[in-house]
Amino acid sequence: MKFIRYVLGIIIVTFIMFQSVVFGIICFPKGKFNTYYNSLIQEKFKILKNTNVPKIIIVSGSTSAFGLDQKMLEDSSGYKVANLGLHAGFGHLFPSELAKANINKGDIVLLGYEYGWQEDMGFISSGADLIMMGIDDNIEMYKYLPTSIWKNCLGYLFDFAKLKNTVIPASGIYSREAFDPKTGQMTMARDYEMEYDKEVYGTVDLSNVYLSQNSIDYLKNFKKYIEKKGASVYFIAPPLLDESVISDPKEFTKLKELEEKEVGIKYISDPVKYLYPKKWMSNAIYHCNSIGEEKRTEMLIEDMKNVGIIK
Amino acid sequence: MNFLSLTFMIFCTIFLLVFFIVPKKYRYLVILLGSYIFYGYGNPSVLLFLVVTTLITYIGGLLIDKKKNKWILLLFFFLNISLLLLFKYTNFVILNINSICNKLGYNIFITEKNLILPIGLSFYIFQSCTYLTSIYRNKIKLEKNFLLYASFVSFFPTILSGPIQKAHELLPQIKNPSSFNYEEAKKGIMLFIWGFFEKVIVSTNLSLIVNKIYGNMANYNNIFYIIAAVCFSLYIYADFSSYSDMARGISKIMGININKNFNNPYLSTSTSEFWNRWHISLNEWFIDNVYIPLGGNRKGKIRKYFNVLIIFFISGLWHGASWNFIFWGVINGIIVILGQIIKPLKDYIYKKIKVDQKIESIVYVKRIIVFILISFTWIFFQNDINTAFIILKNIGQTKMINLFEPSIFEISGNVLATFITFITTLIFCKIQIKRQDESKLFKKFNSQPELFQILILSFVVTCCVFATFIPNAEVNTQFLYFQF
Repeated sequence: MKFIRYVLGIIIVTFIMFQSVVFGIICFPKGKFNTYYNSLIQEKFKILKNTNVPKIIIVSGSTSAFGLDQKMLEDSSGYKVANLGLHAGFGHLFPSELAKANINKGDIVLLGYEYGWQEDMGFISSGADLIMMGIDDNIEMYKYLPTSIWKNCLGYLFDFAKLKNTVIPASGIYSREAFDPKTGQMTMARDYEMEYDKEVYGTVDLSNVYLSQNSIDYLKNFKKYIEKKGASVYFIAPPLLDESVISDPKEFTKLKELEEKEVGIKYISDPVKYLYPKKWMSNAIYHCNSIGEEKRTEMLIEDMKNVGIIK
Repeated sequence: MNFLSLTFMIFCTIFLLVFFIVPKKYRYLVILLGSYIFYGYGNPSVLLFLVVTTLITYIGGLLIDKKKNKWILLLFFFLNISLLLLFKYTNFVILNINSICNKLGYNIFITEKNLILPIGLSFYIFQSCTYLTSIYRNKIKLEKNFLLYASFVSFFPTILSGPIQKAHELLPQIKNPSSFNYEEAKKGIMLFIWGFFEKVIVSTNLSLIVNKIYGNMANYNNIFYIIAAVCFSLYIYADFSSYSDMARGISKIMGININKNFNNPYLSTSTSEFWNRWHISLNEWFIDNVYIPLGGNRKGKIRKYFNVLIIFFISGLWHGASWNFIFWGVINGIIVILGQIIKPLKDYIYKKIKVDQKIESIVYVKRIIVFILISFTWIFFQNDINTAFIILKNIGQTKMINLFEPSIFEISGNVLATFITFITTLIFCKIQIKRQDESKLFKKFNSQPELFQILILSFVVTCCVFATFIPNAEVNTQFLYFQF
């Protein structure tokens, strides 16, 4: 009995020490990343949690931060918009899991993942550093971290502490000041055209496109979950700079068909139409400028109307 | 199953609960069942090897006990060893035959066989051989209960990486288990946690440096080769010692004492002494089963040196079917023999200059020399022969100015990580030295308030748990000696 007490003592104290270090680093000091772009995910999550009228939930990376006029979509659809699109570096699992936080009957979930997610590690990879800077001391949001990311986050913990200790406030387009704090809508104007350099901005190659089994499995379960809640889920195409595509554009259609066939989620856009010219793009191959944002939103509304999701 | 897995923690908890609930006379059955689950977990086919070696040595034991015939002993001894020879050395022999044929111009090519060496085979085959010799030398009574004997061969704490136990020491403890002893069980927990620290913190951090340098040799200059050699010496010690300590820890909780495998080898003042303190269980096995039967030191000095060389040659071969291991073994044998040859001369010189060899400064100098010599031989253990010579050549070309290389302080990734590696290695060395008198150290720790003990042990475990998550120091849950 004494021995069991001794061992239990070690286990309990270890657990307490472990928790104290983790929570100590995460929670104190508070709000160190409040000015950071990533941390907008907290506002977006709050909007999602607090919106209990029928809503459109957008799950994507930065294509929907730099390419969606939420107000326009709300006005045209009559739905509220909870736009979780912020940073592809978060990975696709994390925003998808976040979306599950408040799904009600009649909600519409739109999956606008940036290309690459369909490949082997594309769906399960995630940037623990970006996620932790984003959710920072918002303990509730850690509940939605997929278990596969836990290890990475714990591994990043001490670097996170180091970063917290040396962080300087952020400003400009990649900061919270670029967004409306109430709606999470980007408000900073992007009235310029993209100067594309493939060495700097990279390319997109969809040759021999395929869907990894882990992404199929996850999305099938995701669909089941959404439908069980009485909501519906669709794939939408992310906007992409046409010049950056080095494979045959037909591959985009092939991917669309593959997604519908393998996952069973309807794809409501024509991805080829979302290959935009430079004049609609801003500072990255997935980032629209102000004009592109309007175009993209118009096209999305049109797509939704065409399939009868909205009137 | 691996000691550093959650599965093992669950297994161990259930095992120990069942072990102490079951009446003493049936506990060997729990050990047997637990050991087979432990060893066969993930790949049950390896259990076949365990069963075969158990059967060979069990039948061998029966016949040796009946006839007391040396030839029967040799027959079953080699029959058992042949399993190891077959799986460990067949491809090595084939490769060498092919190479020789190729050099001689014969157009002969033998295809390598698809043989996978079951983990721990070298250890439990050697352990089961001790039963045959113990019966032959009347050190132990014949064990007729097959299941009890099987529990000795498969004893799970030591099956993967030793320490290799002698039948006359382990078998009686399994047969007549002692009652649960709180103090011993506490010692066991401490040993296990210390082993955890050695592996996860010390060994992992040191291996990070070794792999970084040896894995990208072109990017590093001479001084880094010296650092890699030193780190490897400490790494192999920490890694192997960690497994032995965890194995001893679990056994202690069960009330079974298994022998220490290391006795501060790097405190040795001669290479002979080093090999008496390093991997003690294997060296004792070689002395009992090879050196003494070959005549030991009873047949003159030349024969003794020859026997020593044979032992080191076999030891090298045991560590791996590769020429670098053989080379490593032979070099160590030569160093030990040279040390013994020049010992009278050294003694004469010390006497002439009237210096006591046992004074501290001389002892330290001797320890440093032994450490350098052993570290130099480890280079052949870690690398193929050609690479090892390149490393040695580079080390030989080290200039004083190379010492002033600022990136040394970032060898673990950054200055902080290097500092942590340095400090934890220092703590490891300090505690290992203190463990020279393990019971005194335990007594001292045990005299502290229980809450303090729990806090210290929990702190160590917490550090280890965090260390397992650090991405650039990915903990290799496999122990280095598993491959042997």
